Amino acid sequence: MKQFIIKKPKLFELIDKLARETTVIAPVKQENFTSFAPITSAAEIVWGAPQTVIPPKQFLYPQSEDLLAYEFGNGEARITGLNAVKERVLFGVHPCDLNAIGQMDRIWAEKNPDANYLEKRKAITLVGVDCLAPCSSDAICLRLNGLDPKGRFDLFLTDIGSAFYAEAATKKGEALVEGLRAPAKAADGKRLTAVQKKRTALFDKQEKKLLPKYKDLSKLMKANIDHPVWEERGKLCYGCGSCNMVCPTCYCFDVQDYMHVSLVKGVRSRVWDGCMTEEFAKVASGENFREDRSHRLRHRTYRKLNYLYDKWGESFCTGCGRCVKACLTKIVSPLEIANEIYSRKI
Amino acid sequence: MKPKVGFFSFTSCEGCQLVVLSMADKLLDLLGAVEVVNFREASSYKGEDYDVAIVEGALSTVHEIEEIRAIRKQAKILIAIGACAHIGGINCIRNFDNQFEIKKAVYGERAANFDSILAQPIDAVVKVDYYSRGCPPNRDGEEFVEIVTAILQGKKPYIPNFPVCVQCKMKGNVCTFHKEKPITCLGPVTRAGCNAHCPSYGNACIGCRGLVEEPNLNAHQETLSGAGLTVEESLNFYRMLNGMMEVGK
Repeated sequence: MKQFIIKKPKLFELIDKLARETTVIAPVKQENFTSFAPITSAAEIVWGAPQTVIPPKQFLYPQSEDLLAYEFGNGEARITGLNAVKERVLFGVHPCDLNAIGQMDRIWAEKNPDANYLEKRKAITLVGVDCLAPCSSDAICLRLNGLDPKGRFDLFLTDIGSAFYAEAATKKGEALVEGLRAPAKAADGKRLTAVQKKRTALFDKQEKKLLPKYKDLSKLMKANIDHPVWEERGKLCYGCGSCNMVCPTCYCFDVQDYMHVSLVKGVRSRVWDGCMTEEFAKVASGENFREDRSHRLRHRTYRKLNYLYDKWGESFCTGCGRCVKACLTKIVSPLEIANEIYSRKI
Repeated sequence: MKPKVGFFSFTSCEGCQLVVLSMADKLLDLLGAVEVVNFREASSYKGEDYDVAIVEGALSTVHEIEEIRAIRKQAKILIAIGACAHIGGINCIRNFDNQFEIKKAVYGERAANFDSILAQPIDAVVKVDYYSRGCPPNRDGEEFVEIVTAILQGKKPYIPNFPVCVQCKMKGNVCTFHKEKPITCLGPVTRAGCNAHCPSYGNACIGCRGLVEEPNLNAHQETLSGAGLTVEESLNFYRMLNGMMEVGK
């Protein structure tokens, strides 16, 4: 990890230049929220709060993506391949989402490496920005180990007043700020530590407490497969999949064939899917393995706090709080579920 | 041999036929795959030798009920298109008022000469094989073409059975309930497939594609009353297009 200091006006100039020369995607205003979108100048960026409605995963794993196109003729099928990938800068990503992207990098590279994701990932320069105050009252990042980005970025910026303290985890990150960076001095490091300390204290004060210990979450889940919390919360579930769609670590998809009405050509696409929807676990015979909403809620929570936790050694809820906000009946918060299970022993 | 298709219209604005006509290049593709023998909005020719009947509108007269029975007898496949044909739609609002008063208000002194009855969707009378949902059928008729394509392929068309919220979130929309000035919305119980068209333009979902198979109506009542709607107001919201749901749809 290399540390630099970048003067604010210089960084804004760089963003303006990058926005002219390549594609820069950053949080911009969207009504009373924000959304990741291509920008034309640094002035459009919303720093910090409010959070985007959906996470930046859409630029690595789009909502709907054509995997291949096919055409029939002369007794054979012709298949054309993947979409072209463009170089892009993903700017202003919060630590919770950096952690999520870091987790997705492992998921998509495992066993059968997914070229659709990995090619796009390789073409992205990931620039994170540290949060100095919670982005909303729903944020639970400090509790779920999501506030420390753990080096999951090319470049990471912290506002230390007159300048940005920049950490580069990759050569790509270093190269991005080539020419406008100065090496960080001991005094800058001290300022960073002070800013971070103050920040962490603020998060600790404002974020909802996690009652069980973070490292016990997986065990707690495993021991409570029959806890009444699943049924009680599950009966209020719409099965609307909002929590899945807004989650930076939900990556399940459905594959659909779209045949042209001429029946001679078509495309095969993958589309975001969600385990909370009714037909997610329905198979060809009509059998549904998770017909009950309570089972689906438990499954989702287990994915975040138990199955993937055990497999990869960390919570796959990074505490962004988007599902907490999106869920209209307020049942889905992994932190609240863990707290309820912890305080109501069965 | 191309399947012969007839379009038929019952109580409606005939907007569904217009949606099919306005599909431009997709319409040409469609016409390459089927032969149209009956289509009032497009042609005065009326053939009776159709294999596939595409029916818009709700049934609201005794005469219409006789007609739909005759169509069902002829057609091998019957597709209900649009909210009126699928769920009765806006026509069913009248079902919740005094029928005598309504008839008088519309037809005046000649009310007795009209055979109008409670409005109902097509499948209240005959079997419907496929539904092209929405008011009007969504996505510039894309789903309608998908249904026809699936029939030609001999496979089941893919129609989502999850709420509008799925596609609304995919679009990154700010939830109608979370706007600075919140709007009450039927999205959490309504079947997706429209790409959340109305919420994407800042409006509430009014449920034109009908409800999902297992809507959580208790949860929705809580959400709506949390947003300040009385039970009566909530019912009226549903009755705009989904009135038939209350009699067992």
